[in-house]
Amino acid sequence: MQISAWDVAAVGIKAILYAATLSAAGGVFFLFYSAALVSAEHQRGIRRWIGICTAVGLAASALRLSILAGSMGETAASLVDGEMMRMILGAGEARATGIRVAGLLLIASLAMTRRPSLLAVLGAVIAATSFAWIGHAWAIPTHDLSLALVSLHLVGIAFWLGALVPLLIIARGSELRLIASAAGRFGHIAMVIVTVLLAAGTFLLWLLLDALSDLWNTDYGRAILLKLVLVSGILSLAAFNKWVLTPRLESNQLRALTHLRRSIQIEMVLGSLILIVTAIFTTTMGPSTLD
Amino acid sequence: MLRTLIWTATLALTLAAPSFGHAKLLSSSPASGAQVSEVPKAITLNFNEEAKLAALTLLHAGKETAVAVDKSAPAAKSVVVPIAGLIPGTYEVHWTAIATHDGHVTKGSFTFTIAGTAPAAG
Repeated sequence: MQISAWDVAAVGIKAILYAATLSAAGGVFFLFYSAALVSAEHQRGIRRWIGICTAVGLAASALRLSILAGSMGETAASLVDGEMMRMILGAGEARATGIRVAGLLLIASLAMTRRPSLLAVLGAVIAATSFAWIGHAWAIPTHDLSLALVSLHLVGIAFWLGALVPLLIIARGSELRLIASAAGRFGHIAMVIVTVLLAAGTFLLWLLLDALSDLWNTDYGRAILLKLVLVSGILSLAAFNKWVLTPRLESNQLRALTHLRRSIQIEMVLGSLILIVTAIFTTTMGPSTLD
Repeated sequence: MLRTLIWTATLALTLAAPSFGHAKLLSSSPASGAQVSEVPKAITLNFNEEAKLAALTLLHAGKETAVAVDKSAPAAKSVVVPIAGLIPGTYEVHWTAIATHDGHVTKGSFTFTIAGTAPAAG
């Protein structure tokens, strides 16, 4: 398989779109369930972060259309080829982008309220799940089920990865008990959400792969395996934060705060790699069931 | 009750055979690797499902030529692209198509040769 610079650009813009949209959505979720535990200053920081991610998500949605057109034509002129763009929009991109933009605009309503409203949470769910309305899972015959599974998976990812920057913002503070409370609440809800995320992901794999051996016999499967290795890493760190660092913070051990910050930063790197790998296999490859 | 539902869903999913997927080139005319004696007037691409052809380029003697494709044409399993002015030699065909139901873009290439002697340059 030959990968051109255009393919790299298409993968890059998709990874940015994933990161911005899921971070904005996850930031809203975080504020919704832990606003009472977060200082006004930190809430402002988190809101600013959500605003940046929302703006990047909107810009990347528009830019992606142009880059996809460029990638298909493999010429600079294709970047502004209206016919090529119409072709892309007609193949499902209009549906997914429309849903995403609506969700991001609802998230932007956060700027007008002091507490995260249900409207902003609804926007977060809509924006995060917009990726389910196009792509491999959409293409399989049982797509009502796969749409539900991908949506659950995406909300789970937004909840998890989208909480990392807000947690880091809070961990910059010095009130250990408050930090422990916020990290503890996240960890508590994460137990349920991550279980759903992993279950939905496993069920999806079963739908998308012909056989378990596809995981090591096909490019698509090997990319999924790489993603699973990265997920194992981030899951281990999350478990370490919940069961080791959070109790240490609760008992006022200052060193635990340094470790928590470092751990969240490593989780952010792993999370970024997971999104990049996902962007690669959803853009340049397909599962064997779709051959 | 829950167990019955899970087993029913599992059975339904197991029996549900995939009916569509990514646009994959099944065959072409001229065929991949073919040596033809007559200069083709068109290139036909046969896909496994309905797709839209977004781009087609020909590479011959180190020179790349973009062939005009009808991007507004409806999605089809078989796409015919008229070509003119080919001379004997080996051609590399690069194509890009988009699956209309899931938006997945697929790219591919194949070669064919037109037998004979290319006219002398000049």
